[in-house]
Amino acid sequence: MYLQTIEVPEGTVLDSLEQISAIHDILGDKDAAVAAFKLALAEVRKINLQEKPILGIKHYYFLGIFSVNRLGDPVQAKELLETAYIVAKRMPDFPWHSVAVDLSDVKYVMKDRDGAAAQLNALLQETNVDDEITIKVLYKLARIHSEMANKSKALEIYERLVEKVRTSEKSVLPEPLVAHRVGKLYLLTGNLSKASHFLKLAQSDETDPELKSQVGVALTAVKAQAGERQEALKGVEELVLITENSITKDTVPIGELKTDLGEILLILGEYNRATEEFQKVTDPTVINLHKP
Amino acid sequence: MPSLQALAACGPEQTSSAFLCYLRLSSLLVAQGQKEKAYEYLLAAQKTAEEDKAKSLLGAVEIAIANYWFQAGNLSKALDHAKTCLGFLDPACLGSSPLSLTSYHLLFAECSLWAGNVTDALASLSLLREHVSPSSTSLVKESVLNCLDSSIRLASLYLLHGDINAATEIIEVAFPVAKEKGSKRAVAEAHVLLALLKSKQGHSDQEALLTEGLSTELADKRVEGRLQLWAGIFYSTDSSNQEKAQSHFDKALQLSREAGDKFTEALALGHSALLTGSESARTEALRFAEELAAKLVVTLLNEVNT
Repeated sequence: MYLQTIEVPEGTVLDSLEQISAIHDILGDKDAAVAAFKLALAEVRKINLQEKPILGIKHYYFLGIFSVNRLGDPVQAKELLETAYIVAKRMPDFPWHSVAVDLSDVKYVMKDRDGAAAQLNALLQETNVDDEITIKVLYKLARIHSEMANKSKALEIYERLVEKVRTSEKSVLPEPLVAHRVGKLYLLTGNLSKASHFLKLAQSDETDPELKSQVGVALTAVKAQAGERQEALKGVEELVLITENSITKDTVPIGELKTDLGEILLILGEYNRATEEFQKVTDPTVINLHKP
Repeated sequence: MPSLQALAACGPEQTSSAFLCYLRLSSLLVAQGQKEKAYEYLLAAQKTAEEDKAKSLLGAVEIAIANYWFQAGNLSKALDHAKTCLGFLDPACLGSSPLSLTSYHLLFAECSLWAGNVTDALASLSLLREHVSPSSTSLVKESVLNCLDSSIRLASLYLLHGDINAATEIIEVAFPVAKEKGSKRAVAEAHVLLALLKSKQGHSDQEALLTEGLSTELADKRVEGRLQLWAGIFYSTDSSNQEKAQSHFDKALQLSREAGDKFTEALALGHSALLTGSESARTEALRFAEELAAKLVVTLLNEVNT
């Protein structure tokens, strides 16, 4: 009825439906949000992508991101973002790189790690990719390689990432966070001197209590693996104090800390204490283990 | 015995706390003989890995399942899962991670040895020798404790295989590192193994070393059972110490039964039967080893008999 009675510029109805869906979602009315989203979906398919590519990209992209982030529907999101990506890539000088990153994110959410990695690798082959995008791509790609049990490739990419973060003026990731990731991965591969080097770089950030505790754990694990038993045990006791501190409980994920603590105790051969720490994490009656 | 240390040094980079805890608890509890609870944790970890589909998690679960079946005394299932795990291995993770080649080869070599697949076992053992020595120049040399535990386990596997020289070479490198940096368990195992190996090479006066290793309270019946078995073998070659040998074999039997360590139990039964010369004890040991498909023990009993 609205469409029949008032002439509005193309895209206005879609804009409105998207806003209505978003407002219902914010208000917690999921059914109404989905209903408006479906109407928007029907509208977006009416756009002639040959004639109005920019309008198409804008709405396919918005609805793709909305469906994965707000409606939890990565399958729908993938289809929408793929359309946005194909149209965007056809257009000269259009900044399609961020659409490609989002599309890889959706594939990752769908557990299609190979697909996500292929998307990201293709981006790395491109010239003139913005530093901000390159940093995101390297970070995501390293994580995927690590999860695909290809740690040497992950480390190679992480080292590239550290260099990029250090030299770029537009870094979206703080250097200590990246250094922590690299250090942790070197720890997993048993290269303790490199692990220690990067973890000490990560120590430079005193402002983030979560990162600070994670770096502390990783450095204690380095000591444990290096056979510095007394030092490692001292670190363990400090970590126990952190996990029992009521202020810390609100700022760091205690479950992760306790898990890492258990790992260190295992390395040190303290099996009974390790068992206790692990059991606390899996015990549903123990509160404050996980961040809300 | 599968070393918990080999599974210890953290898991995949971004693993959830719950997944890692399930995995570790399953290894720790099965080592304590709590098989049912261990299996529950294993299933929980497996469910997480299957939902996540990350190779690193799937591999960690497979090696944990192989470890579980080995500790439960089922060599066939253990070997099947170890072979599946091979597809998930990360060559960059020598020595330190649950997905490491070291963890896999140690488990595979041990299962193969007990199953009597000597060729398979030796392929893994010789590969391990290149990588796990605490004095090795390879990447893993820095992870001293992981290398140390792997070395001790490697030496015990060479001992099981009967290659005393190889076992001695490895434990001689590991021994000072264990004394300086090792856990109580590592120190105890290094003492007992070195004493036994040296005595097998003809060196006398190793009893003090053995006694020192045995005097440590470990609160780990599986390890203590194995140490008592080595002690029994230590004394069994000396005709004046047959009673001591029998006493250690009896302790090994009791501890391995309490810990649910069927392979140590089988070997202790076998050595005890050989020590007494009793045909009925030999028959019982043979039956037990055959039930376990532990050809290593079957061969030992048959060789002596022929």
